[in-house]
Amino acid sequence: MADGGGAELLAVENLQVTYFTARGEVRVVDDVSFRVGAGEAFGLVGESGGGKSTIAQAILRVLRPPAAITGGQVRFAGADVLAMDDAALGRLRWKQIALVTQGAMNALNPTLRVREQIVDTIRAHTPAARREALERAAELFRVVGIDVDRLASYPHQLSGGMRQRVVIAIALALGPKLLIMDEPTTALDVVVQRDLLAQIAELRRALGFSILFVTHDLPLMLQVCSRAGIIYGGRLVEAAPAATLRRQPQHPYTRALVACALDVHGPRGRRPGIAGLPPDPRQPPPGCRFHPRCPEAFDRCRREAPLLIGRGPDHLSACHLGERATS
Amino acid sequence: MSLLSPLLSNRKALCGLALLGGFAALALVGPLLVGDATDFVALPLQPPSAAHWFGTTGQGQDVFAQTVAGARGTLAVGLLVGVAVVALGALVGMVAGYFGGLVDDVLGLLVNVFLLIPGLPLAVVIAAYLPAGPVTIAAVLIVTGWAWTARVIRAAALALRRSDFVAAAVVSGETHLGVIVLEMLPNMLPLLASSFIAAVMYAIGAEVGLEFLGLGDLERVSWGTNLYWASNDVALPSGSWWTFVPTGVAIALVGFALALVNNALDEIGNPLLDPARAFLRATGRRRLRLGAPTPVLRRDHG
Amino acid sequence: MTALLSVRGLCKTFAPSGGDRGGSAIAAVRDVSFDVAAGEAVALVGESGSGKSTTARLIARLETPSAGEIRFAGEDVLRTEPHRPSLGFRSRVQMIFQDPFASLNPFHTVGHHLRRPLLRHRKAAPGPPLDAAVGRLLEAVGLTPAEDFARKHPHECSGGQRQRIAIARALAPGPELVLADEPTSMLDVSIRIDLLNLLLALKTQRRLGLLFITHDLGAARYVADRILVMFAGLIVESGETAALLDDPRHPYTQLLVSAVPSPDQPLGTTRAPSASRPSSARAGCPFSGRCPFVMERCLTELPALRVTARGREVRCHLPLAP
Repeated sequence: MADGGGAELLAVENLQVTYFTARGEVRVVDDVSFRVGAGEAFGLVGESGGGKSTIAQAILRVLRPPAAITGGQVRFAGADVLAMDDAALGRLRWKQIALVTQGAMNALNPTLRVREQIVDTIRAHTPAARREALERAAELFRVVGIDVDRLASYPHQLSGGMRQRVVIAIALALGPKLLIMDEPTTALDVVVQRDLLAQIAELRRALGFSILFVTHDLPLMLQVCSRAGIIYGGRLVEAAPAATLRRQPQHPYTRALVACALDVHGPRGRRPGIAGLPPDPRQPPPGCRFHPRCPEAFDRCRREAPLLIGRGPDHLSACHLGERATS
Repeated sequence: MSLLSPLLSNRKALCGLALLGGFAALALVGPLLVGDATDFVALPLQPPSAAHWFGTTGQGQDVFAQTVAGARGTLAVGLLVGVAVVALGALVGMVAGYFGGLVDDVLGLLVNVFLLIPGLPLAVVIAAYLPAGPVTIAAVLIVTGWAWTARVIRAAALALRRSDFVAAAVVSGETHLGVIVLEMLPNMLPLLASSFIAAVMYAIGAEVGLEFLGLGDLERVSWGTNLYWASNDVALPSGSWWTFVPTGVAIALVGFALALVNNALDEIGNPLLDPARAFLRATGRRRLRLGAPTPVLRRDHG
Repeated sequence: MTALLSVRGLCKTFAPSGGDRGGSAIAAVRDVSFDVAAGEAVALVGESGSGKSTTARLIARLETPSAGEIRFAGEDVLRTEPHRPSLGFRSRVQMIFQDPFASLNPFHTVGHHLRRPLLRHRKAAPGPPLDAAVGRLLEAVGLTPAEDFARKHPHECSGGQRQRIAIARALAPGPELVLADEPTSMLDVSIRIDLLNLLLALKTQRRLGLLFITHDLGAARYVADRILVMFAGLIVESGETAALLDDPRHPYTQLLVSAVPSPDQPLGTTRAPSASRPSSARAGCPFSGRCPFVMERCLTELPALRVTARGREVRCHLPLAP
């Protein structure tokens, strides 16, 4: 297992999530394991529909029917999250782990001023009085870098970047130890995105929380995280420190993701993208799920699913290629 | 993308459609089966008996026959008005919503004027001046009823007008008519179906109301005139409930059936909870609890 | 040689909306001028609110400009067809929209989406020739087997496939200029390259002029021969792609270039002052509120667009090297 530096905060082991549909069971997350250490930023990278958002929501058990967790363990600071009852989960959510979902900035209540939304969250989880909660809201705004006089604004009066900061302020309101963010910058412009991520990095240094950063954008993840896992077809296909993923990716999917990065200073010529479509979780390809799209697939890949094995210090990859060299 | 198959698999819809089908059959063949319902058949105000299932009216006519025969008159007018109101309302609403600007301002003014005019009083006044009969009633109801549908459809059209696929069709070179009929209209089918049902319900209720007031053609047999005669022949004070209850029940059943279909359309519009059944079976629960944490179901095998 | 598209002094001001308190007229596009040649790809880059999408919609004639000139193949279309664009114009200028889930009508099949423009612009006779034309379009955008795709509805296709369908629809009338409004913004990064490669291939094969609107400088670099940078409705810099990105002259362009996530550069801790909405009502340079090099002059006087010897344009009061 890829280990984080320092004390382990979140441990996900062999996680399995299944959807029970009218047409049968669909396994969307299959045997995924990773760890996030205290104060660490860990990334989960993968295509839309590949299961990464599902993993993020499964950790807090906020997946809606017809989803159910059908296997594995989730341990947070030693406690078994999957065995928790409603009360224990209530103490866990928001106070220990906060989740910023995709599109959260558009889910702010349009009829309430933003300060009310922060105050509501604080008072729903702690016995704070309104005045205390308002002070905390002002402090949070300072922390996320919004002018305190915007506390009285309605969401539609704020720009996209500011709304996302409000959402992050709400998430940090109760001082969680782990912040899970799912595509927090998708709808934002590149300058706003950069500023927001820099802000979050500063906050992490100041307040010491860990981050689980879920995204489809590998270069973006590399900016934020020190370690990451690559999710494909509901499985973890590679996990390593960010620098290793950038410089020595082993799995062909990771390599393709790195090659797809469109930046302004690297090589300019034409590149091939990743052909084909993500696998259908109802009928995944046999053997390695990536083989239909892999430029280096060979016979064994079609028959046998590769196991996650170590490729180097703190580097795991599930691919038959490396093995071939040693056999 | 049809409306038909999800409709047929919905129990409420099937129930409603079955009821409506029954009444439609009644409207089509009923009068043939019961003969002339205005015939004098027995002593007046006889309670229900084996000979006359629903008893007799204050004029000695068979109530059962009148109830059956009345279906055609009322339903025909209801259907006609429903179709006309939706057609006229959709035409005005779509044109106003699509073109916007001056066209919308002018049509909007027209719609607002008709909305302001109190419907039933106007209907009563007009019907009092025109020759009594179903045509008058239908005309009156159409004139007083189209504006509501027009306003609803206009709002939907305004929203659709701003969608990307409409802009794409415009850039493609699609004509105005093409955009309205091919791009916007198909996406408004559920709304039109719902408006149609609402219009029919309105029409039946208003028509019965007008005829009850004596503004219909009293020689015709329809549910409305049945109620008129029942009231005229002093039904309540004489305790002859059978002269108006069957007709009342019939009208209520039709309204109920229409409401069922309308509700079913609403359900279809929203995501079905059908997948939940398999989920409930797997988790061993009987119903979903809102906001419950994701359950953990471990199985022994892989 | 006349440029395919020539835009001069294009302006669009939106009237204030009634409900907003303190609503003032919004000058979404101010004095925009540029050319696009046949076979050339030009990127219009800017953040949301910069006016880039509005510019595209003006050229597509979905909106009417408040002022300015649009010349297509030399013809001043705003003068020759002032009210409604002709079918001829529509057949020569086409557009691809940003949201693959909103730009296709959920009610109709893919085949229908392609048949309508083919019929409207008389590119094929009804019946077998029409089906063959639909098949050719689907093949041109890589959606095979064509017969299967023609029967599908949009919701049965992935985001990338839907954008390909949108491209096929845009190609149906046989256009000379294609306006692509952020066609890859809503797609995963792993499929963006495929779509961009498709656009480039089609541009070369059919000698199309391509106006590519985006906020992603990386994508602009991949696709475009020239880049125009927009801010608050104005073009602040323009030039040949490699030159502009290697040596950006306008402070806003410099900011954009530094903000693109680069796998090799770690996130810096320096932060630009929190961005307030650029006000087009403010006199002077709209970027003055965020510019690290702001001078007195910038607050009162809007800089003019200056041209260097190498064809670079910059709208800034800072001294301009050749």
